[in-house]
Amino acid sequence: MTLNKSTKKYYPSTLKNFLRGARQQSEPSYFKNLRSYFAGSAPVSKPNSGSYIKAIDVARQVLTEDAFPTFIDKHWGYWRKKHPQLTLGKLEHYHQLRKTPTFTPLCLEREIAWSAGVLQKRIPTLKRFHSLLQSLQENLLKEDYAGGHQALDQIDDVCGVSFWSIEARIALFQLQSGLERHKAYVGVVYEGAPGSFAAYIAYMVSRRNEEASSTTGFLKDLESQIAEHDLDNDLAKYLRYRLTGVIHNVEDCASILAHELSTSLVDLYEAFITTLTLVSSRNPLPNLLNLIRPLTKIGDERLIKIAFLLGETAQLNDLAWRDLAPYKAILQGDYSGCVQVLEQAIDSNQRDFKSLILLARCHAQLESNLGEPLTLLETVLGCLQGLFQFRSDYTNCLATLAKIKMNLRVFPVINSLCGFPSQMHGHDLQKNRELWGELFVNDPKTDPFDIVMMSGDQKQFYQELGSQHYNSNATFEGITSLLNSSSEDANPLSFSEDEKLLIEAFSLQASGMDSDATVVTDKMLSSHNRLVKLEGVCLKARSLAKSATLKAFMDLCAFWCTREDVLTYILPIAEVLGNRSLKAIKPDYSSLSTSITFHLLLRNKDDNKAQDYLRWSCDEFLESHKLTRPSKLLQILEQFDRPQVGYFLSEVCKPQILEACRHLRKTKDLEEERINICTTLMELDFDHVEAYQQEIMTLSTKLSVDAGIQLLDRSRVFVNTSGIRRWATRELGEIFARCKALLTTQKGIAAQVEKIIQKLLTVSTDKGNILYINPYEEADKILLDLIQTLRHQFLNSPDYGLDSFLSMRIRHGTIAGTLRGPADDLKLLTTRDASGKYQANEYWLSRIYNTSPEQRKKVKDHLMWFSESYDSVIELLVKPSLQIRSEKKSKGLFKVELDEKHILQIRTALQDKPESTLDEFTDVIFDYFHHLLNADLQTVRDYLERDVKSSFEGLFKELQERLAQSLRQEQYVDLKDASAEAFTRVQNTLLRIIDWFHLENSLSATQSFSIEEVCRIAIGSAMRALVGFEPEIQIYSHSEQTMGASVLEELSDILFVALENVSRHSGISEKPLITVTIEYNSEDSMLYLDVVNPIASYVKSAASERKLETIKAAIRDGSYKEQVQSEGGSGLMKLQRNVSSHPRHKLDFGFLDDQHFYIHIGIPITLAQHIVIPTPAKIIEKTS
Amino acid sequence: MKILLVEDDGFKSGQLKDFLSTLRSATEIQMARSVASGKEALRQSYFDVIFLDMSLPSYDIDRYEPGGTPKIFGGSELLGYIDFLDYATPVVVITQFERFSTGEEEVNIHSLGKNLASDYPNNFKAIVYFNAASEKWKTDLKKVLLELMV
Repeated sequence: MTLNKSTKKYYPSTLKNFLRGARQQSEPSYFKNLRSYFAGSAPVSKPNSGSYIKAIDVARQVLTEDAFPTFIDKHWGYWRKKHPQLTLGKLEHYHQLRKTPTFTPLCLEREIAWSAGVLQKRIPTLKRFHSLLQSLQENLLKEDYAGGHQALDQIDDVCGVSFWSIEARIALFQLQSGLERHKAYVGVVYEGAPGSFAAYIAYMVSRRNEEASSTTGFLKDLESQIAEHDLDNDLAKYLRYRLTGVIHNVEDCASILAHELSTSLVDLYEAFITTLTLVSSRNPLPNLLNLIRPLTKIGDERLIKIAFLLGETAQLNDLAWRDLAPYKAILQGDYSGCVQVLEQAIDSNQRDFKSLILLARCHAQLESNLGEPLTLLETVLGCLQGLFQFRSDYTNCLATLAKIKMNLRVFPVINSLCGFPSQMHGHDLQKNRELWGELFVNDPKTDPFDIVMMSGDQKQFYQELGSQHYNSNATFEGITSLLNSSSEDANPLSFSEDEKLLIEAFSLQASGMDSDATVVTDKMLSSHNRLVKLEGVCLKARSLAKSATLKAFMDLCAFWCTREDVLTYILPIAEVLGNRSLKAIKPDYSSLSTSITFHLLLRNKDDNKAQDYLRWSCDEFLESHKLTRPSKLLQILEQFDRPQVGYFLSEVCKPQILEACRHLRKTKDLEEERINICTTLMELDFDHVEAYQQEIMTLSTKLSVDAGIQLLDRSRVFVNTSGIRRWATRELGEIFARCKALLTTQKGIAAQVEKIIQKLLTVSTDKGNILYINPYEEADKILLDLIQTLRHQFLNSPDYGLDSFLSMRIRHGTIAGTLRGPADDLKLLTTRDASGKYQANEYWLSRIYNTSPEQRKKVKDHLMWFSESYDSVIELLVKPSLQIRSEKKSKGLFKVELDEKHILQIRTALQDKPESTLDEFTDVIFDYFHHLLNADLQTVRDYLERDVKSSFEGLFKELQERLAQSLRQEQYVDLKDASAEAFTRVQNTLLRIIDWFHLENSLSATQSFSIEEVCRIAIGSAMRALVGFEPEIQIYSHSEQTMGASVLEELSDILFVALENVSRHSGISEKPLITVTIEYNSEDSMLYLDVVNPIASYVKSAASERKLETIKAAIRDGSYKEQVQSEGGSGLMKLQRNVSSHPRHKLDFGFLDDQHFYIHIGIPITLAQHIVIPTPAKIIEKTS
Repeated sequence: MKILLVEDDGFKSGQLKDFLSTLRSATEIQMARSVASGKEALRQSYFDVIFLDMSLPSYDIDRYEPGGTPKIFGGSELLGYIDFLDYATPVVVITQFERFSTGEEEVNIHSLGKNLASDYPNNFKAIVYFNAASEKWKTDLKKVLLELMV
């Protein structure tokens, strides 16, 4: 809510504080006040009055209830003079509400008796109140808000202020002018009585009535307030009633009445009527009638009807009987005719809410389009129509009505009108009786349908009375006869068959069903009228639910909900299955309906157990039919109901459910199976073909991207041997020929060679380990030179060598980012500041509690130590090990060292096959190198698995030990959990990293990808390493060509550098919007990539432009090659290195304008020869 | 004694295995590293006692499998499954978290223990807090195991 100036003035500082306090979850002051009020320690006006009221409290407990009226009568005069609060005299100010300590609650019957005694003394005032209430309700329904306020003012004048009037006023303001105005009124209450119970009630009612506040949300919030503040039971019951109207148990009414006895006359009266409505419709207490009878003088029809339910028949005839013309029209199926009559009836009496209900039913049958509602009544009418019609927005209609009921609960007519849906499909007999009772009592007229909730004698009397009144009208006779008996020939009239069935259903619902239900429901289920049929389903479901025939219940639910989705929220699925364990109900797993019903349950009740039951039942279903996956259901389709198969496959068989299927053992299996399912569904469910196609496309892309990222991960260790081979052809052809010629002539002196070989030495130099041989023989010297040169290229070529790829794909950013990721995600790591010192971890320092400055200092140091040590593991243990071993890089684990035996074998091979070409020779050499590299990779994997992992173990363990020494357990629970979680994630990340160190030449991989996929994969892979960098990336591509894996790797290297460049140099930390445009130009066979990113205003400067020029110059003259040898440095030079392996390439970059930087790259590519697009058909073939 | 240990954290499972092997020489420990492999093990064999981690991945994480949906209450799901299979096997939950949050709701280790005891009275025996920086979990676990043997 935004407060404008005029509203702000209504919010005094204390309310602001209170609101702020509520937001901070501290205890608002009113709760302290509340507790003291209800503990009886609240200040009272006179010193002795406390003890007097205590005496009255004792009298209430010891006297018999018969003696109450006399006692009250006898003391009334004294109370009026000395203790007006006991007479519920007129209160002028809000702060006077609930000033009196509450009486100790008595049992319900005695509490009713005491309340009746007090109310009897105030009959003249209550008469006035009743008349004004009628006027208020009529004005409200006519939307005459001025008239409504006038009536409310008069009520306050006559009866004094009350919680009831506060609530009614908030509701009126809300309807009249919306949130701002009602909030302003709440401000007035608060100003008048700051910190009071009235202010609290006003605040809570106002919150409840806000449009954004849902009924369930408010109830939940209130319950958590009650629990949080540990309020006693009586007060909790009272607050529930006061703020929501919820009364869990009729016995709770005793507490409510006891509280209202110290509130106001109006509040007591309305609580009294609510109590008696519940009591009289459920289990009338003996002697109650004698207490009520005098109160009927008030003229309130509610009390007359309550008296009737308690046995008083004399006054019922005084009430107005409803006109039967609309009923006649409806029952004969003339819904249009009925609409007109009902509209007139409502116009003449807005309080006639049953006419509105009938009108909604007619509109439902006519399927009228009522348009956008403009008034309260139109909204209610539209919602009721939605319910009768089983419209798809059924639950929304229900929620809207519940919200209106809650907001306007102080108005009995609205309360009943909007409460009507609660009984429509309820199956709790006891609750039904209460709801029917409430409808009967609050209805300003008398209606033939009221008979359903009456007892035997009452029915008879009522029927006789009605017959007299309606002069034996056939419609009245017909209705009552149908309601009295459900036998087929009970109705002699020409009611339409559908209407007869609906009345019978209505009767069964109201009476909580009986054995005739089956006969009626079977007839209803075969009706052509959809509404009748669905009513029949509801009725049958409740019947089955009660008779505990679970299998039949599940079959019914599955059958009908898969045809009429709205029934999912109407049938009592949660009531039947919600609180039972799967094991206990032992459903039939071979039936499709079991899984479907559990899915329906999950849609009603979202909890982990329901989800587990659904997943297991799905697995068991497949198992019982020996199906390894759901898509195979198609093979036995004829065994099942087709709509249910469709629902099962489309709604139930989603990845989160399929996870539990024992034959689907990997994430990829799930996704592939879902594609199969969607393909199957395209044949079963034509209406949603497009949706399934879209799902297939999304999943296929995801699978493809995942496969691509995996491919990239496995191609991080790479040597471009093709490139080296091309280089060797250019550079080593001549020398190789000479070596071969010499070796061939020296054949046969193996003994001498062996001797030479024995003298081979390995000498470490700056350029790496070099095999050194005494040049006894020229041929051997040349051979060893050749091998040495090729080894150097294999390991160190800046364009093709292992070190170049290790640097680009692993050491540079990727490994640090990936290893830091898990700890970074949980905010355990900080970075260095400009001085090189690690920054304090403010995130976690603000999340440890009740610490002394010394403790904070220690924790700060521990976390800084942790960040530093963590990075040290990466920088000192991990990265140095991932180097080519040399004198300078002695920790490097990549050696690729040929020994004497290898050289001898190469020499012999060359001698034995003098016709060998250089390519064949390099192939042999590379085989040896690959073999040796694989051994090195094993060493790396072992090192990471053993040494690095144990370093991280030690690090996390020490962090936990240090924290444990500095803090008490309860001070850092979250931090401790985060550290444990991070360690598990680090271990898993290490597993993934270890997997990088396999030699898999992906250039030969057969996968192919669309250009867009290539882009997504490359970005996905880069983002996994660039932790903390969260750009928004838009990809534009119109090319539909398919690329091989080599393009993917190349583009991935390029995009990683480009994105890292943005992350480091753009100066934009918050989600920079990067556009990546990628196009293939078939004319020059080039793939063009453009990356444009925003830059901060300070980035473009004379200095930065000079720097760019320097980079461009280094690229032009080739000096960049020296600079990209080491990690760090300019990304732009690295890009040049990446693209320069293609003689025909393009690279351009610079500032597009003051706000954007661009990179333009072009590389020649070869399109994939064999386009392999994962199509559903292929996957089916593969999986089957 | 045949034990099933469902644990995805390599360090923790190593510690637990070491500890269990010191208690009894004739102990056969079968490992599972996810909810799916835990369920598979339960379907295949009968165990004398089961140790469960609470937060588990859906599938065993390996070079080709990222683990599926992480399950904050994966251990609880497995307990439900044990109950569903009608096994009477005692289950001990060993977790290194003191608080569990699904975003909407949060539960601490004690409340979780109470909930599990109430939901699965036939199987759930105890919840033990594992802290790598302390040896207390060993004492706690030993006590639980002794009670189970009695």
